[in-house]
Amino acid sequence: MNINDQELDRRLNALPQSADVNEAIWPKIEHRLHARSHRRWFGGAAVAAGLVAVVVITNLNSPDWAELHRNQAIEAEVRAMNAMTLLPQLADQMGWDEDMLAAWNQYQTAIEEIEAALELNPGYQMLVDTLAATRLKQSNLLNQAKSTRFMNAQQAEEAPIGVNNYEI
Amino acid sequence: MFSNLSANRRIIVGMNGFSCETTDALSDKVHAAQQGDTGAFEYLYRRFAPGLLPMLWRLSGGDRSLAEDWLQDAFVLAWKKLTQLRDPSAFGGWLRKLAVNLALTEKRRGRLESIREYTEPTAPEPPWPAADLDLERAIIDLPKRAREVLVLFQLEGWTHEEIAQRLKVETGTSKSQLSRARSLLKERLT
Repeated sequence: MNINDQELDRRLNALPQSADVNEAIWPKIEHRLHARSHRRWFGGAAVAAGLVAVVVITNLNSPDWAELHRNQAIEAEVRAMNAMTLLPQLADQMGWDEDMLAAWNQYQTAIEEIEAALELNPGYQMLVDTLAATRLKQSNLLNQAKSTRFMNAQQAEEAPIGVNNYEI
Repeated sequence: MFSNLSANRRIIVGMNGFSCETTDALSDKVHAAQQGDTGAFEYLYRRFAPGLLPMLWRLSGGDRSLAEDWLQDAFVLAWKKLTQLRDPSAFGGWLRKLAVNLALTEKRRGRLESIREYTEPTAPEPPWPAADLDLERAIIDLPKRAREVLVLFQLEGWTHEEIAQRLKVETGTSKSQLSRARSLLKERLT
């Protein structure tokens, strides 16, 4: 015999809402926090290191990777490196809103995760591809911002932009 | 612990019914973390992470590894965005929403799953002593959308309007998914 609504509600309400967390998680978070601080300190240098890593990994481990992908990866890294260095000024000049910055930051978080995964699995082709694609999407935000700014100037009105307008 | 409790301090009462800390103490930790104090942030992690894990585990469909990934990501993102939080006493709710948003981001989930090297067993158990294992398993076996709506509405206290906005569906869809989830649970449970 199946249970009724009251019994289901009672059991749902009794489910635990808290649990002990694996002790190994905090050190990983802490490591990432310090990595972030380090990244901020060195700014674009970290991205440049990523560029070198992508090129080296590509050349050493991916002989079959298409030339187009290689160029895209390098181009994306260079654009991202430039953008990282200039981001504060660009954000100010282009009038980026919080949503645009949030989209940028989400890409950045994803990029850092992929880079961390690449450290564990160097040469993993799918990760290299994903890193390049994510870099491209992140740098494309700059183009989107330019277009939006241009259109806003043309229409002399502000159109609300939500984070969902950007492909994450 | 609360010997220096002043009259204008409120006590936060946890779901387990005992006092946890003052809002001032919590706000102080949040403020310190906003200034870059990782020790204060660790305090916040230890205070709030346990309350996020069951929700994330259920949203992940019983994938402990994925839930822990989300937990990590949520706190890293929170650290990064912490300066945007204007009301430190709202940290708990703000963090919870941030964690839910991470878990519901479909493309992100697909990416993380695609680089996973192993899959969980077919009948996973929650990473805590489950008093109602049948119900936990029935929830994580629900279709994804129905499971998400059930967790958000029934366990997280979101409204159908909030769920509809977040999942980009009609309010009626959220209601029908909840009804579906409840029907499936009732069929499964005896």
